[in-house]
Amino acid sequence: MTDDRPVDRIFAALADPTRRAVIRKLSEGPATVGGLAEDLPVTRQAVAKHLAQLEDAGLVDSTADGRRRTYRLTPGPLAKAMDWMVDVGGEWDERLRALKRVVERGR
Amino acid sequence: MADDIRREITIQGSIQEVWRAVTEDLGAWLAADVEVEARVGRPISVRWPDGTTSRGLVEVVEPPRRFAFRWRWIADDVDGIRIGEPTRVQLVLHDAGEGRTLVAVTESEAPLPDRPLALSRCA
Repeated sequence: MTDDRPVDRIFAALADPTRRAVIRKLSEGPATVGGLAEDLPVTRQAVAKHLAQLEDAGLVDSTADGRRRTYRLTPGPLAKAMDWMVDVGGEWDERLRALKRVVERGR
Repeated sequence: MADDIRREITIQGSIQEVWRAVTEDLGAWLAADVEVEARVGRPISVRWPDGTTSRGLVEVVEPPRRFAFRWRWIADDVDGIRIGEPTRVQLVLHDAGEGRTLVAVTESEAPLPDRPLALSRCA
């Protein structure tokens, strides 16, 4: 996967309720596929697939210890998506207020 | 994917008055230094106070309800040249009754077509 649309990939990754549940679990601490599958109503295979997509989006990374792979959240990209929404949203609030002043002043 | 950003405001003024300000007076509400002609396919160019610019094209002009453009920001300073992701901005006006107009703006990521597609369209 290319790295040219990070915010797009983050939102796409977050669009699925199971992946959001995985993120919620990982926000409590690192976990293995088996550990996550125990807490979620999906199979290990499904958890592994969702983790791969979250890893692709840069939201999750993993380390292997022998045959045991542990997954954890990478907070950067989530914060980046939030910053983008808050920053751009705030800019539009200001612009719309300016538009309102322009119209109402001209009356 | 849904729109990433959505904001709205209600303005005391007819939809025609608000449309005029939205499309003809961008210098008064978007940024001081704007060059745009509200016609489909025309360029929009904004110089922001921090020295960065945003450039793009007007995509929709449907008086007095819908105005949309796609743009991306460009910074050229001591850190080098950086270009932001393209986004699509759409302003939709609704008659809110009693002489008021609701303006809803959305800004969402809007990747440009892949190069081969763009080239094939030109060919």
